Amino acid sequence: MKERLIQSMAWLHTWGGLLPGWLLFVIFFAGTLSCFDKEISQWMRPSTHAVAQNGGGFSFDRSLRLVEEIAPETSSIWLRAPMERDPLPIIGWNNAGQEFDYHYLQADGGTVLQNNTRGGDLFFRLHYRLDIPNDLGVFLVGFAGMCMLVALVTGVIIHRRIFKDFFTFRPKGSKQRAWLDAHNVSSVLPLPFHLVITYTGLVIFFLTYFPAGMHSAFGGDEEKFYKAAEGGFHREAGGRPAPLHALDPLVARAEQEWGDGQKALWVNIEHPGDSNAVVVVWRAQPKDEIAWISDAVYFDGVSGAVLHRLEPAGIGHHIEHFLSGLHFAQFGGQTIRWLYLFMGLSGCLMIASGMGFWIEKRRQRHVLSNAAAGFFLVRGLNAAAITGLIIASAVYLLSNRLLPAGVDHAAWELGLFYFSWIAASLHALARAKSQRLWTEQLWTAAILWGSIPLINLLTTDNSHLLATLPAGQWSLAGVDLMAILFGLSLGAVAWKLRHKKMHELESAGAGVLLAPRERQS
Amino acid sequence: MLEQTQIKESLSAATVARKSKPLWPQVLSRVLAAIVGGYALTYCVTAFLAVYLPMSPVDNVFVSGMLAFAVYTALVIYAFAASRHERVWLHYSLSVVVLAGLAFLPGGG
Amino acid sequence: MLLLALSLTYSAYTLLCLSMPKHYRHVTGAAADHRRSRRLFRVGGWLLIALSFASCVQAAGWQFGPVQWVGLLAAAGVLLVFLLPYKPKTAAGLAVVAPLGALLVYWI
Repeated sequence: MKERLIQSMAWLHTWGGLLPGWLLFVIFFAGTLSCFDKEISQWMRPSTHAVAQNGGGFSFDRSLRLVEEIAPETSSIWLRAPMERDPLPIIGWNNAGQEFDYHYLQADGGTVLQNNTRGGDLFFRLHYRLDIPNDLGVFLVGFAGMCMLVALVTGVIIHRRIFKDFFTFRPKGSKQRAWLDAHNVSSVLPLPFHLVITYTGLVIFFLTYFPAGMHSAFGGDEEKFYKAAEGGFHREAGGRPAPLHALDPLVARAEQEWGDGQKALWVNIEHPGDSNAVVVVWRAQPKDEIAWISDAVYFDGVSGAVLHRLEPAGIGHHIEHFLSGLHFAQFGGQTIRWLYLFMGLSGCLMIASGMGFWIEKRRQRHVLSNAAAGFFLVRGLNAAAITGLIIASAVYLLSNRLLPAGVDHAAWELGLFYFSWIAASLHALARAKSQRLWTEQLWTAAILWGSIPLINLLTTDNSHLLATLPAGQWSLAGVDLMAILFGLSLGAVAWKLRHKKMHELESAGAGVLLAPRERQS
Repeated sequence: MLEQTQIKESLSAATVARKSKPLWPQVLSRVLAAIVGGYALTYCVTAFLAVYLPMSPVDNVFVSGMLAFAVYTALVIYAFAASRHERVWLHYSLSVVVLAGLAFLPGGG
Repeated sequence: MLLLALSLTYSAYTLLCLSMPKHYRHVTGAAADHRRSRRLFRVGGWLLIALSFASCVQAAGWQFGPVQWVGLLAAAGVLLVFLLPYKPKTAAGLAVVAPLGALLVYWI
């Protein structure tokens, strides 16, 4: 009975991991890069690097005046102060039912930043919705996430010798065994991370995946639920025009209310210019709290009187804040973010090696059979998803530096990202039968990533390592350093694989017995 | 005596016969039970908990929603761990009916 | 402090690893009188793991300490697992040198 259970769990582990394997790699890789999405975005705006200190010149009122020029008729305005990780102000607006439109400002807060880039936001959107504009992306990611949960749990169930094999790594054996050991190491040691990051990622979107509670406890009334959950304050427009109160004094009031040196980050104005305008001042996320807690003060937009304070969340809501906070990793500063980056990379390795092991294990069975075409297709698609994405990400960063000044950066960078991903995929499919498929792709990726700091040096004045390191601009330097690390690691793996035999059969010639089937435990 | 042996033999023959039947219908059944049945049952468990947990309605919705993914994982695993796939369908459908009834019938919230 | 916790975790893992005959043989080339030293290694290993958890919490508080500790568990583990097949003696030696080195850095 136990044997049958292990077998069915092994089956579930394999297919639960394989089928969404490509999706999972994209999600994990994009998520890993998203740890530093703001730093990447900042790196991709070299025109703003020269401004050493922009001083304390930021003013919400100045931002507001810009919005009034650009979008005078809007019913909802959002203004953001510069952040430590994202040192430019933002202005944004939307009308009911329309997309939220936002723009970065120059560091002085007086003009809109032209030639914007999507920056690290591409990786973020790729991560949680596969860069698909509607909910389909979110659902696909959710499906992959659930499969990952099942794969993790079944992986623990079937790994009977999980403690005995804890430290086992045999890189000098066959390729297949190296893949398997890499898979075990990258799965078992960071297992708490994988479980927590997958579960919390799903929790963030629980209302999208399981709106059941809203239907049963709130009769399906979405608005009623959101209003009750938010604990905020809203009112309809009054219809009579009235001048808006100055914002900066209200911000100062709010910061006084919070005390403790807490700063305001966002100001939201509902019905600007109306008699019933409401000004909401949102507090910046404190760094020493994991939970994603908001606090806001609501002011009457005309008189400046305090109307409301955001109600603190109940216990259930607070737990959700905590779990979301664990996933977002906006707490604890750069150390935590680097930690998540390395754990995320281990997750990428787990997924890639799982798929690699599966395909190499079946090599001898399929290569000579009728299913050979299918086998090679899967092998090519593996590389397309894994090294293809790694290559495309490097091209994305390189294109930012190499594109000429006048073009629409956001559009071109995005286009080159997808174009290079498709190109790498075509190469992968064309070389699917070759032993050198992985080394070719890995070397390409290594060279592309490694060249980023060099191209940076050649194309910019203030953004490259020789400038940023002495100036102590660690966030900017970090991107170049990370690129070097990626390049070296990818090159190391490519180097290691250069002579690796596919399987014992190929090294000893025909007639040698196949190695006894490795049991997955 | 002879009858008993004959029954035993026919039983073991039947067992052999069952083993040599194609596997994929059973696998498909379990996959469907896991993905579709599991989702439906998780949905009903969530709806049920959102109504019957002891906290405020908003908190109930949050907690039940957060638990949903653990429930779904367990249901997917059970669909494959159970000895007979018919049993999985039976358990899941009965539970769906009971929980949905309890969660939605009394007017909801 | 982070360095100290990392090295403690690493040493903990090394001890636990050495408590397994397969790995002990790989590192020292000989089978030890294993029953007693095994237990010693195992107890020592778990003790150091507890110590590394304590040092994480001491350095970063109860909210961030455990998070960092989970990360260190993985990081130290990866370090050992990759050193072991290539340079087993170095791997074992590091378990002694690292915590001492970290303590030194901490006091300077």
